[in-house]
Amino acid sequence: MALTLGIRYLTGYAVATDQSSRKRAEWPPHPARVFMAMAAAHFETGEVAEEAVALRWLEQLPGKPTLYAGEGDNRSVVTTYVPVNDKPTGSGMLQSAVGLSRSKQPRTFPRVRPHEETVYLVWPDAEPNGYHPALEQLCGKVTRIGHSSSLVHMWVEDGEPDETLPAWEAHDTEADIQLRIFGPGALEYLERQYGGPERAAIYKHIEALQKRRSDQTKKEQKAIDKEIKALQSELRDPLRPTMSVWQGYRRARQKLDETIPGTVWDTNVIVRRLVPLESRHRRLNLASTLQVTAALHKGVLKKTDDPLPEYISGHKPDGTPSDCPHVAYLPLAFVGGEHATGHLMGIAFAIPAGLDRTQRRHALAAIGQVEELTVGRLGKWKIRPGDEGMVNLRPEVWTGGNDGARQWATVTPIAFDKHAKAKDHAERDQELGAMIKTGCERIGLPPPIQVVIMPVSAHLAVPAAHEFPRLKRKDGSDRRHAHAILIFDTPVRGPITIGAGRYRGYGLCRPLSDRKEI
Amino acid sequence: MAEQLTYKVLQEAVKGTSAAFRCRTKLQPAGGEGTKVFPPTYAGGVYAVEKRRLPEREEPVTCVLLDSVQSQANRMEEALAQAVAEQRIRLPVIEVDFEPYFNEQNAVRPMNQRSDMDLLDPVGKVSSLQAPHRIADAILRDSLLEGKPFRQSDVGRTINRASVQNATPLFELCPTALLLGMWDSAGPKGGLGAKFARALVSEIVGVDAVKGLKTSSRIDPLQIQKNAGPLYRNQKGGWTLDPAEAMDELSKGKPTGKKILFKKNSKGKDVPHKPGDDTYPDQGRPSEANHGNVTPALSDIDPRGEYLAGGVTIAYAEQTSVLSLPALRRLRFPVNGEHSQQRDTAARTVLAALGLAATALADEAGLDLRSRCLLWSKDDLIWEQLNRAQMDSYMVPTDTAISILNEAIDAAKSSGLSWREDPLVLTPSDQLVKLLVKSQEQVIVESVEEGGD
Repeated sequence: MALTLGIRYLTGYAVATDQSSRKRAEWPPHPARVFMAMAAAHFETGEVAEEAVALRWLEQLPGKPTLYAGEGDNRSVVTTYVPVNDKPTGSGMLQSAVGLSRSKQPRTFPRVRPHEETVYLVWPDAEPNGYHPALEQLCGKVTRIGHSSSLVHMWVEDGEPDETLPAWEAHDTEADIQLRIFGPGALEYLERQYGGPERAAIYKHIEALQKRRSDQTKKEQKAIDKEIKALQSELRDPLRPTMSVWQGYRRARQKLDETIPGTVWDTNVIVRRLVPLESRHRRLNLASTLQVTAALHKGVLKKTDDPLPEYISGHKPDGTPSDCPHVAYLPLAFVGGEHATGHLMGIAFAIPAGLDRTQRRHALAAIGQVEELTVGRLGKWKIRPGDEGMVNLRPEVWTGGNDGARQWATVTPIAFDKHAKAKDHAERDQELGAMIKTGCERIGLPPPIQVVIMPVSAHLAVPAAHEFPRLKRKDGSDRRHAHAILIFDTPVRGPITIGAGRYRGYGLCRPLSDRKEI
Repeated sequence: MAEQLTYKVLQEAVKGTSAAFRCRTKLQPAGGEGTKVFPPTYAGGVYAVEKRRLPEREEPVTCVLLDSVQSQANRMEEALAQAVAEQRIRLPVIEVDFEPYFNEQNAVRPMNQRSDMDLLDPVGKVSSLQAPHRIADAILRDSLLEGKPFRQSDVGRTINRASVQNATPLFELCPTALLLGMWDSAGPKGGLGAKFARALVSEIVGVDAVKGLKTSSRIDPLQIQKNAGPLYRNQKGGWTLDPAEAMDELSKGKPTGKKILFKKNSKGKDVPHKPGDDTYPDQGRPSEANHGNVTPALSDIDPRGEYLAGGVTIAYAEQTSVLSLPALRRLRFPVNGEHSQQRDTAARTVLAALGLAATALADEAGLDLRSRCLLWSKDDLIWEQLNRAQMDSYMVPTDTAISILNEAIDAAKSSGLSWREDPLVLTPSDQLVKLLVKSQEQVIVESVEEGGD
C-alpha cells in the first residue's frame, strides 16, 4: 500500500520561482514546496489538531517520495512593473484609473506549462492508516503551490498512480536534478519561522491595553502608550523559510525492451550542462568538441584514485590502449530544429554497460566530482547536473529511448581508422561505409544495411565535416573524417559513437526522426 | 449541450468537494482569423513567449501572452464598475471623491495663480475597484471618513481585524478583495497585515504565434521641412525659433553668445548653438518637437534576428479562467463573534457568483486589450465544474450570472451578513490632494520636455 498525493494545476501553469535562480521556474514541484503549501493551509485555516498530527507523520516517513510529473515548457521570463502601495503617486500611469499615477517596482513571475496538468508524490512503502482522513481534509484546503496564481487541486489517493507519467526517483549518485525535500521537524521549523503564536499573543495584549486606555488618567495613558510601544518593538516579521535540504533525483529507469540491440555503453548516459564561468564566449561551437572532451577527461582522471582503472582511463596498466570499452564523452548540441544554433549545450558521460556495481559507482563518483572545466583559451566552464528541461539535453533524444531508432545521422564526424585506398569516389565511399559497419559491430550493434557518406550532417545546424579539426595519429598525421547517415534494418538503441574518436566525442550519432524517412 | 447554471448547483458546488469552475474559451482577432494582434511588450520590447505541444502538430508551437493575470483582474473590476454604474448589479464599493478639486478654469491658470489643491486633470471618483491594491490601497488609506483618517474610523478599523477566519469586514466593504486578492501591507500591521490570496485567475494566450514586423512613418500635414529649425529651448522648457527667447549657454555664470537647443543629447547634456550658423545638430531639428515627416522604417530586430514588437498572427487565442472553490471554502464569516456554516456557505456562494459575473461582464464588454488587439469569442462561455471523477459543463450567460449573484446576495443577507448597495464615500485628505497636484504638474513638465508646448 502506498501514500499518493495528487496535485492538479488548474490553470495549466505552475508559477513558482526556482530557488537557485529567480529567472527560472521551478519544475517539477519540489517536495518541500508541496509540504510548505500543506503547512500553510493548516496554519491559515484554524490549525486543526488532527492535521498537525498527520503532517508530523508525513515528515517522519522513511525514504524520499517518487515524483510522477511530465515535462514542462517554460515561458520566457519578462519583467512586470507592479504598482507600489507605500505612496499614492508616482511616475507610472495606472491602467485602472485615469489621471492617477503610481510608482512601480519590477517583478518577475517565472512559470512553466507542464505537459500533464497532474503530478503525483508517492511514498511506496507508507501505510497511511488513520492519517488518511486528516490528510485528505488538509489537501482539500491547499489552494496554490507557488505564486497565488498557481491554483491547484490536491487530494490523497490509494495506491500508486498510472505509470505512463514519467517518474523521478531519489538517487544519491546519479542525479539529474536536485530537489528540496522535507524531513522530521519541518512543521515545527515552519511554525518557528512564521512566529504566529507569539505575534497573536502580543496583538492580544496590545488590544487589551488599547481598550483600557480610554478610561485612564493622562499619566496612566502615557504609561500604557509606553507599554504598547515596548510590545510593538517585540513584534517581528515572519522569517522566510529556507527548507534547504536537497536531494538528488533522476528519471526512473524504464525497463528496456531487450529485443532492441544496444551498444557497449549503458543507455542511461549521465548528462551535464555546460555553463560559462569565466569565458569570453557565451557558447561553445560543436567544432570545439575535442578541446572540451580532452579537458573533461583530464578532469575526471584527476578525480580518480590511483591506480587508474581501464574503464575510466582507456589504458592498460602498461600504458597501452585498452581493448575494453571505457567512459566516452559525448557532445550534446542544440541541433536538428528550425532555430538550432549548433552550439554545445552539455556533455553526456557514457558508462560501459558491463561494469559491476563497484566499478560503476567508482566511475560515477569521479564524474560527479568534476564541477569546473578549463578549456584553454575558451575559458572556464561550470559543469551542472541535470537537463533543466532542455530537449537537447535529454538522454532519450540522443539514444532513441526505449524504442530505439532505425535511422541515425552524425552530429560529429566519424574519424576513420585508416585512409581509403580507392581513387574512385563511389568505391571510396563503399570502403568508408565498410569501415563504419565494422565500427558499429565493434560497439555491439548489428551492421547498418545502408551507410551514406556526406560532407555535411543530416541534422540542421551541425557544422560541415571540414569545419571540425582532424584527430591526430601518434605519428602526427591527420585522420580523415566525414559525416554519415546510418540506416539499420531494425531499431537500435544508443548511445552510438563510432570510429577512431568515439571516446572523445567524434562519431556521435543521433536518431533522425522516423517521419523524415530517407 | 451544456445546461444553464443555477444558484442551487453553484451553492452545492461551493458546499461540496468540487475543485473549481474552469472556463476555456477560444477567441479570434476582430479583424478576422489570421489578422495581426499586438501582445503586451515588456522591458526590451519583448513579448512573453512559450512553447506548447499540440496533438495535431509534430513540433511544439510558439505561444505568446496576450493578457496577464493582473491585467485580466483589472478588466474584470472595470466591467463590474461599469455594471454598478449602469445599476445592473449591486456591489459594496468605497469611493474617494476628487471631483470637488477639479475646476476647468483653475486648471488652466499658471502655477502661481493656482491653489496647491487645484487638480490639473480631472480624476473624478476613484473606487476600490480601480485602486491598484483595492481596499488596502494608499489612496483609501490617505482619505477621510467623516473627518477621520479612513483606517482610524470605526468602519476602517474593522479591516485591521480581517483574516481568513474573519473575512466578514471585507465581505461587507470590498468583496472583490476576497475574490481577486489583497494584501494590507501598508496598514497598521505593515507587512503582517491581512493577506488574501486570489480565488479567481484568468489569462489570455495566443496559440501558434508567428512574429511580424511593424512599420512606422508619419506624413506631416504641415509639411514642415527637416531644416526649418533650429529649435531652441525657452525658459518654460518648450521650444522657440527666436534666439531672443531662448535659454543662454552660460560659462562661469555669463552668457557665451550661444543658445541652448531644444533637446538634450543622449548623455542628458545641453547642446549649444550659435544663432546664425547655417548648420545645427539634430537636437534642434523640428522632429524633436514631433513636427515634420518621419521616414518609413521597420521594427527593430533582436540579437536572434527576430522583429521586436511587430505584432503576431495567431491560430487562435485561448482565455482560461479558473475559480478556485477551496480558496473560497477556507474563508469564514462570523458575525458578532459567532460562526455559522450556513452563513459561510452563503457568503462563499456570493463570491463564486461574483467571479462568474465578473468574467461574463468582462467578456460582454469585449476584449479590447490594447491598440490593435481586439479579440472576440463567437461561443458562449462554458464553465466546467471540476471534480476528481467527473466534469459537468454549464452555460453562464451574463443575465444568468447576474441573476445567480442576486439570489446569492439575498441568501447572504438572510443569514445575517450585510451588503452595502450605496458606495461608501471618502474625502481625500489635503495632503493627498496636494501630492496629486504636484504629481500632475510633474507629468506635464516631463511631457513638455519631450514634445514642446
